[in-house]
Amino acid sequence: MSGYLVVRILMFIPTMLGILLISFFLSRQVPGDPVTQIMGESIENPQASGNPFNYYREYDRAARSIDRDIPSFYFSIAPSYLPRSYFSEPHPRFREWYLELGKKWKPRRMIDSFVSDYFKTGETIWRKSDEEERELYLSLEGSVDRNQMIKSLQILTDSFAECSIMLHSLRQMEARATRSVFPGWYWWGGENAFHRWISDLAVLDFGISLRDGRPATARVKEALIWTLLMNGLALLGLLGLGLPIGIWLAISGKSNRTAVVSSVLYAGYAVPSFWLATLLLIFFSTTDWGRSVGGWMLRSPLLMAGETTLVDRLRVLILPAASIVLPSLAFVARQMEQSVSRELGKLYVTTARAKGLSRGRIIWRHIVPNALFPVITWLATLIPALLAGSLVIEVIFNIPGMGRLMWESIFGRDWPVVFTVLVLTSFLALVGQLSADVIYAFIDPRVQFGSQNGGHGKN
Amino acid sequence: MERIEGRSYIVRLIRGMYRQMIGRIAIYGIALFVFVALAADFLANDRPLMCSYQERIYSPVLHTYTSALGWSSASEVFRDQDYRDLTYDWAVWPPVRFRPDELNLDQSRALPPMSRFERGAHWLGTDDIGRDVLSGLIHGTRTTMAIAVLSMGIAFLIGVLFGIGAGYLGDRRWKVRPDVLVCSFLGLVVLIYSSIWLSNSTLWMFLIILLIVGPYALVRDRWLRGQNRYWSVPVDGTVLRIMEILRAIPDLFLLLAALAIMRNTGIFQIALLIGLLRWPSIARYVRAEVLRIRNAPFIEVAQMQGKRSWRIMWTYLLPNAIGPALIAVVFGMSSAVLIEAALSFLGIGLPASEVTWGSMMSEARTNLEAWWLALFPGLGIFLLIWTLNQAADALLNELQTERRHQTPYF
Repeated sequence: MSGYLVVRILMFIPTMLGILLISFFLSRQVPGDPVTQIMGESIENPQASGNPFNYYREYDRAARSIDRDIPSFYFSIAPSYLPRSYFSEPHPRFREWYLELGKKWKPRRMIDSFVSDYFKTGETIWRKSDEEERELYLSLEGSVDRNQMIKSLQILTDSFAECSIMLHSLRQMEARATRSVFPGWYWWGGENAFHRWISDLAVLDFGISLRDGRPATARVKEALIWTLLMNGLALLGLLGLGLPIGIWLAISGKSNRTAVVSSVLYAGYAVPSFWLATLLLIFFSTTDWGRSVGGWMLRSPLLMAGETTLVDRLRVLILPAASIVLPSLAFVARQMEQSVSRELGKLYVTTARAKGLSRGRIIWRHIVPNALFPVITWLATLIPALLAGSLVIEVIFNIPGMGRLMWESIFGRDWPVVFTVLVLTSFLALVGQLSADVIYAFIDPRVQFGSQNGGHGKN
Repeated sequence: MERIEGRSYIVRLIRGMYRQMIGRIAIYGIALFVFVALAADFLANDRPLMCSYQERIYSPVLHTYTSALGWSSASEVFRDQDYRDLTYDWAVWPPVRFRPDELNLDQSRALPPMSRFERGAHWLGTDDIGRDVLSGLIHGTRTTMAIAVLSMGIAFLIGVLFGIGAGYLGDRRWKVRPDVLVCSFLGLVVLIYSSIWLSNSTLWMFLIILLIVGPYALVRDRWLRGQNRYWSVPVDGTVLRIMEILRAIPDLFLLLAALAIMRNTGIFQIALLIGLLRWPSIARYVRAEVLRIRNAPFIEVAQMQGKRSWRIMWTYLLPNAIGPALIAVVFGMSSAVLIEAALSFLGIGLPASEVTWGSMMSEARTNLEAWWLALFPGLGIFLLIWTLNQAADALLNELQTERRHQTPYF
């Protein structure tokens, strides 16, 4: 048994790794430049506005704060003519420049030092230079015309001695004969964005929210409490209502009553949860009767930070939980019904009846516990669906849970929070799955042998 | 062995479904939805189907199609006029005389059902900028059905492929020579690399591939003569891992994140994403079915006859796997409808101007007095999902009875 457990826990790791990779990859594909987002402003043409080097310095600082000034992953497979700084450069224009320089000139370390000298020298001479010299200096940026650059630098070196270093590097560069099309392998070790990200996640550091600059942990924690409460309440409702109905359905066999109840439940299964939620919201907020009876169940947008006590939270969560419970009731009831029916056909039931045990005793002390286990373990697989489905409900009822946090963050382009929430919810789902499997393994000793034959139907 | 016609198997399933009453209702229901989706323009439009105006016969509704296809140009007679204001000799109107995107900005608020309007009655009311609800329902059916069918089609293709592969090939059956595996992997890397960095020089791409593959193919047989070591490709394990990853990430979150990243989102992109997220549910059933059949005698006979793996999969396993896959597809369609409605409720995916069931319901949220904006679209979603679920259930019953009576197809 412990062997199975160990294997199961070990299989957790590649799955989690896969999720992390997918999230990271997606987070790198977002449109727009996240650095300008956190700077709060983006200047289209830095050269036209005062001292561009101040802007570049600010840009670098912002990039460093969100880990954009290091390569993205542990390694890169890219053309071998790219200078190494290409992969660490956050600013798109300078990446372009590295690319162009790398295509035409070699060696690469000269290119690296040339560009970095450009920045350093630029800052130093900016104050001491006049309009013309500045223009000349800025014409170097982005240019790949070596002769032109040498000429400009020669003029500049007359006034500023610092430019001689750049001139020296430039003179040492020679043209490439051809561009190699074969890829090169660049190894970055631990200094990359992905590694930093997952090591931060491991210590529960969720980064800085792009929206308000505060750590994302606070908002996520608060949202998590709401979501867990809501889903917990819904789960209670599902189990409290669904299980008895399922048991009753299985025991009563085929009759008119069960057929009616079955079809009503089945119809309920087709009800979209957000439709039910909207209808409930409309009913309890617009009709007079609804307002007087149910007004306290709704969360007013004005009392944003009002609820801190448990009772306050719970009263607001009644309607949302109800919207989740009703559609899923059919599912749970049906699962329980099937499970109990399976148990009813087993030998120990006949034995118990032959022993003369009362009907109630057989049901509640023997059948139900046995029937419960598959259902409860199956419920664990519901967790991702619950977390995702509650998104719309949270939006409708204005509950600040994880789903709504996700939605707001996506619309607010707050990508650190978005991918943190994604990873967190997947992790919770995996943990739920894992615990379900562990419980099942605990209970059912056959499982350890069955796990080799393609699993027990859960996959 | 005879070649199996997959089509007759499906036809038999559907006919069996028809025998049950609930299956019959479901089939009619689905047919109704499909009809409404296809004939939306003929059911709700602001122009007559056919009319006679000034002694000549026109068909303005068909005209929209032909002019969109480029077969005829816009008619001068009707230009700049609202069709409903003209007096005709005779005219055949569609049942609902409004277009779904027809605005009426004079309205200050949403109109409740059965409000009379000078152009006709809004049977189910309007929203607060004058769009008719019934018309929106009819045209929204089109979007919903399109996404449901498209996404499940994609999920079906991927799911059946992976399900049969994982079920039959398992972890040990597909053996490749190590060098083929390594070469394929390198080839994949080369392809990805050249598509990123060398997209302007396809010539280079071909040359690289040729340079790598050519000499190797020439010497390979000679070099490896006598080496018989094979590596097995763990198909089952890989597919199961992928399915587990996809199952752990909540659907809606991944959809939202992916849609927020993509630049141009439309029906096809949404359907593609939903399909890519939902194939595991199909693959699961297909795989279970294949595992069940895998040790049957007729498969063993085919293996002893020396038939190749993929031939066995295509000829014998595929027709048997289609049954459960179909059921999963129909269930998947109902959940795809739900997801699509939730997405357009949140305002993501399709442009805001496009009217779908979900977008109408989201308008009810800001306009709480207008209960008709929430009730009717939701009713539509409910009916569609219910019909699809009943259909899937009927198919399930049919499959189980058939399974009891017959051995698997061969």
